[in-house]
Amino acid sequence: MARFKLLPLVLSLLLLTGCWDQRQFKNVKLVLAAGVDAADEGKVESTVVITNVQSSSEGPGAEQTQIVSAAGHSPLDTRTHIDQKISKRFDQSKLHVLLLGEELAKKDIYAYLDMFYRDPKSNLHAQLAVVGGTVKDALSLSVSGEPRISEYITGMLTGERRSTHMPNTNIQLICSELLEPGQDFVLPYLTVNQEESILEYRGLALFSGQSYSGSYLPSEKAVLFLLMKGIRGADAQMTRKVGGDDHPDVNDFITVDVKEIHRKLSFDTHGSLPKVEIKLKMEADVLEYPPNHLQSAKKIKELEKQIEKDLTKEAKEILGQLQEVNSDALGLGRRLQAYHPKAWKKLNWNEVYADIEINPSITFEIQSHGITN
Amino acid sequence: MARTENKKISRRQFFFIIIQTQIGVGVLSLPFDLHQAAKQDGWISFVLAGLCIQLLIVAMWLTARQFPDDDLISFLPKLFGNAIGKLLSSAYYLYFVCVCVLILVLFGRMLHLWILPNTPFWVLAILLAFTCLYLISSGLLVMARIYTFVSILLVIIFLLLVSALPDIQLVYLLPVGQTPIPQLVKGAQAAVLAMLGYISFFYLYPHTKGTPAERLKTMSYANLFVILFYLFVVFVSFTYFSTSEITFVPQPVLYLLKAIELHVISRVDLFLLSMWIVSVATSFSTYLFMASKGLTDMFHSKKPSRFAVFSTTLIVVASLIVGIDEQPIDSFTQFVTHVSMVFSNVIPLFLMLYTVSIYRFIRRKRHGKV
Amino acid sequence: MKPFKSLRQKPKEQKQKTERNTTSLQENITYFVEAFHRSDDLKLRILEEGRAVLFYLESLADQAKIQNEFFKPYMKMDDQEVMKFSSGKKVHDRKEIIKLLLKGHSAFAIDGSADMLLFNTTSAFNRSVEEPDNEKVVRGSHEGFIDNLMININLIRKRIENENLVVTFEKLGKLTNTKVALVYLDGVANPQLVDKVKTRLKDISVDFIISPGFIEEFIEDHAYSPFPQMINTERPDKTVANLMEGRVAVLSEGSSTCLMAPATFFAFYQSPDDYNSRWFTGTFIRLIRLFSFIIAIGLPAFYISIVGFHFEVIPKDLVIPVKSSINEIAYPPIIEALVMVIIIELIREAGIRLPTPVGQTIGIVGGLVIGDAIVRAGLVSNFMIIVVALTAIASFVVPSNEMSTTLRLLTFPLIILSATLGFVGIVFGMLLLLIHLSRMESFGTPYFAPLAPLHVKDLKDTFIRLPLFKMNTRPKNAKPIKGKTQATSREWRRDGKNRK
Repeated sequence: MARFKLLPLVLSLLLLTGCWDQRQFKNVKLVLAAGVDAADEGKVESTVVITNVQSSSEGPGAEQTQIVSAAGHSPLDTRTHIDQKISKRFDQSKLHVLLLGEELAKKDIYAYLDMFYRDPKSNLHAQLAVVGGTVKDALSLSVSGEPRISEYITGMLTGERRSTHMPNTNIQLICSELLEPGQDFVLPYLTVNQEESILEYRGLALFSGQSYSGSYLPSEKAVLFLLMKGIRGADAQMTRKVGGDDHPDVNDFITVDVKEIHRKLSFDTHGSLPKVEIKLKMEADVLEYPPNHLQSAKKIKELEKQIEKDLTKEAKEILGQLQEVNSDALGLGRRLQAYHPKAWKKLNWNEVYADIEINPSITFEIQSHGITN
Repeated sequence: MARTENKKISRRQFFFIIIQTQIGVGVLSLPFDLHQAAKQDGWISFVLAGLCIQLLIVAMWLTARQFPDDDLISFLPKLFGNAIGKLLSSAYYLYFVCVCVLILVLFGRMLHLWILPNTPFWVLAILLAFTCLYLISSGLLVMARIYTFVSILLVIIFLLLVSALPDIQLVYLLPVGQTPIPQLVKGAQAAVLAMLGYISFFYLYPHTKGTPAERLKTMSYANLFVILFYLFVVFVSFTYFSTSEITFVPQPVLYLLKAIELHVISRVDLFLLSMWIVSVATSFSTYLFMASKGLTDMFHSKKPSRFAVFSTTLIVVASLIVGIDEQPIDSFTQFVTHVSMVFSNVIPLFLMLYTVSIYRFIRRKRHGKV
Repeated sequence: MKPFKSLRQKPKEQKQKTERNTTSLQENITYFVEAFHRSDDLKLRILEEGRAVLFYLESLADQAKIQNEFFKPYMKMDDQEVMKFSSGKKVHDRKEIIKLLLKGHSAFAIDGSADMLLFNTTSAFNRSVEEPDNEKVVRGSHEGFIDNLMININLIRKRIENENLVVTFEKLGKLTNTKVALVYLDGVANPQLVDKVKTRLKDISVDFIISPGFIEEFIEDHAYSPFPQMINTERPDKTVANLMEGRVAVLSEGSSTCLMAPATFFAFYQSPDDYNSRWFTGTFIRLIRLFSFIIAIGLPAFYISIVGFHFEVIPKDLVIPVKSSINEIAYPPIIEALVMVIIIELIREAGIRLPTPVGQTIGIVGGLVIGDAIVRAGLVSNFMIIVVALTAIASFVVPSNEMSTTLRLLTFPLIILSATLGFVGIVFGMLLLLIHLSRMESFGTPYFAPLAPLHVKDLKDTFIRLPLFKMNTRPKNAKPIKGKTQATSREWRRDGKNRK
């Protein structure tokens, strides 16, 4: 076996022949934020934000951003056109944010995400968002105090996620919902405010099948929607009117933070169309209630009842909107398939979804009210 | 005598050799294959396959028990006489070479797809094959030591997969039991391909310390471990990906880690892939070891290194001929699956029946004459 | 191979018959003067008007001793009594006399007698027993071996007062005749191991042995491996601890280094300091050291494969800092790494050879000035400096100097592998390294024990250090014949209330 002693050496010599797959980090143009818009004649227009950094011996140097866009037949076709406008080639494997233009999102978005799913180098945890207006405008904003648009948007979305205004989404996470029948998804909906030169979070864009339905759930309702979905961020704050008359006053409002939720879905498949019941039990802390009557159990009960009524009404509105645009963002269909496979097979879920009966019932409980009464 | 006893591997090492041989190239794509065949009930097929393998192990043990000092290549001639024995041995040699080639091309394909799209396949093939040659040239004992050591990587793979647990949805496993039996059996076939390697029992059995019953117990524990490990992998992939999504991703295990970002590092899949290379190397080494040892024993040679080098070169050349394009690999995989059914399942069963009935009878008669 | 065969055979001189002195003083003295090739330091002192001669090697003999041993009693005697010195030794074999002269003895020859009287007048030039510079400890013994074999053995015997401690001498080097001592503890050391070391020592047939480094290369198992295979120390306490584990020590005259076999990889990561501090601290320091092993060989390779192949791996908050640091570097990362590693090696090597104050200056000039300037010049990036500096520091953490050099050497192949194939290259490099380590055996002990093969019980003193009273069995590495080291030492804890 003595002859094998030098085998490692010979093997290492083999490697000196070349380095085929080298991709030097210093040679790429880094793209941290990108987006796609719909263009004329069925084309797409991609916009990328290239971050250039100057090297310096003390810490990170000055940054410059370069915003380039080009139209083409497909996202990768636009890539070729963009490369023709910049030095070297750009690289999306560290992409942080991918924005979809509103018009484009109304088409089948899988086609525009396909290149990300297929490429082994792509970054699947890039945040996704739908932009009202065009992506190009959104990415061209120069927000004061936020040198990098990608950081601005991710920071904003992270904040919204923590406050239970949007679910955790990225390219990969929506993929299951994109492809699975009986399950739809939502994406954050942003609009551009040109006057103040900022982006604004508006709510959740409702998707039906693989395309944007055109309507979004306003951010006030997003919290309740997510709680119904069983998702809760770091805190879930809701402000509701609990008294007074038609002239609202600050004293009429209560702000609560939902601490715990218990959700139960049940299906009644006896009829021709299944009936769905969503039972949601919430436990919350009071964060703000200027009238200060929280020492009596009776008053608390009263408040709870009022909030319950209010929330149930709101839940019905939300479900109504979902059914109206045929977006099963709560994933009811997949659950029906899982628990009642026979009933599922008989139905064409996409067609009947809008007509089924969904009853939300919400129980609300105040469990504490801060360090004052 | 004391010296040969020292050269035997311990039962713990035996355990690790078996699991390292069984867990190999298939682990990344097993959930996909199962899903192809049996949808979300794939895990049932898998458990079925595991139980069948357990039965096969008992069958192999019944055979091996009759030949405490011989491995497959040396007891085949004793069972069937020289001519048929030699023929079967050569067939087994070719079978092992085929499995090695399959491992090599699947390995090359995986790296080509995931990290090294431009590196020529021959570099990777030579690198893996000759690293393994270096490993097997040190003998079974050193192999056992290394297999034991690298098993720590399985723990790391397990922990990486645990990091995906927050994103799983159990509802994707439901409804249970909707798949018809024939498809379950088809799934079981795919599972057996991923768990191949139990045939090494015939080679390791005579070189392991302990009573026959103890060795059977260790082997069964190893099989149980492999089943549980794979089940966990299948479980995570099935619940992370939705039922229709998993049909798009042939390597679900890698794909799901690709989407996970840890705070210190992103793209966990690249680390998993790197660790997977070690698992592939261990499976490959075991087959290479069996092939070259078989060849050496067939020629009763004292120079095992010559046969090891020959086998390695043969495997590399064959794998280069097969190449790493999709079509030839698929048909080659089909071929090896069918051949494996014969060599890893049918023949061991037949050997068991032959040994416990006819061979015992013949031997008793022979002893009676003497 | 034939021309070399003669070299392998034992030299013929040894078989020659002894040469006897004649009775003629003239002839005898001429013989010795010629034997030493008229070397000028062979001092002849003619006494008794030419009828007697005292001669010795001036460079080896101690003048004061000659005065005491020879001249003082000589003055009081008359001629006939001269040959009855009590302290002298009568020798007539010329070879023997030469050997003794070479040790510093003085010979007294008188006309008409074939016998010569030899007095031990060896001058003792010794360093005092000091703490070895390269193996300092914070707490514990501060003694170190010196260049005198007998004193070294004395230092060991002082620590093991046991009749089972065996010392056997061996003469090595055909021309230098260096005295080499083999020390082991009978009843603990495995006899097969002792035999193995003895035969290998006896087999050495070279002209000269200067230091144990020579011996090591002749008797180790795998001469083509970069890893050291014998433990190398200048500390008596470390030697004793290893003897107690059943190892065999080899010391040689004229060197303060002690070699011990068999060695395992992890033995190079142990330091006496571990046992002088509390076991929590000891464990922590050990883990840090082993972690440093991974950094020392893998970190540059890992970094290169990240910036050269898989930059997707960089977490998102670090993307911009890394990018800005390497953006305008002229060379590919592999060149950067090689430049930096070589600079560090240059600084280190330059620092060793110079006197301490100058050495420090070199360190400052090299480390600070070059480091800063090279970044400003855009040759090497900030991150690469961090990586390579960390690697260098990590390699110096190893208590053993040989192992530390080996680690720095191993960085290079891994750098090349990672620059060709990225992570895949690193995995193959590590795998080859692991196979190599597991293949190796040092005097019959697996080198990578207790990890491969796995001895769970022995992990108590490799990765971690359990309290001493838990270490009831000797590590299996040296295959000692007596396993248990202690009965329960803390019996008083068992029922603490009843006893005091």
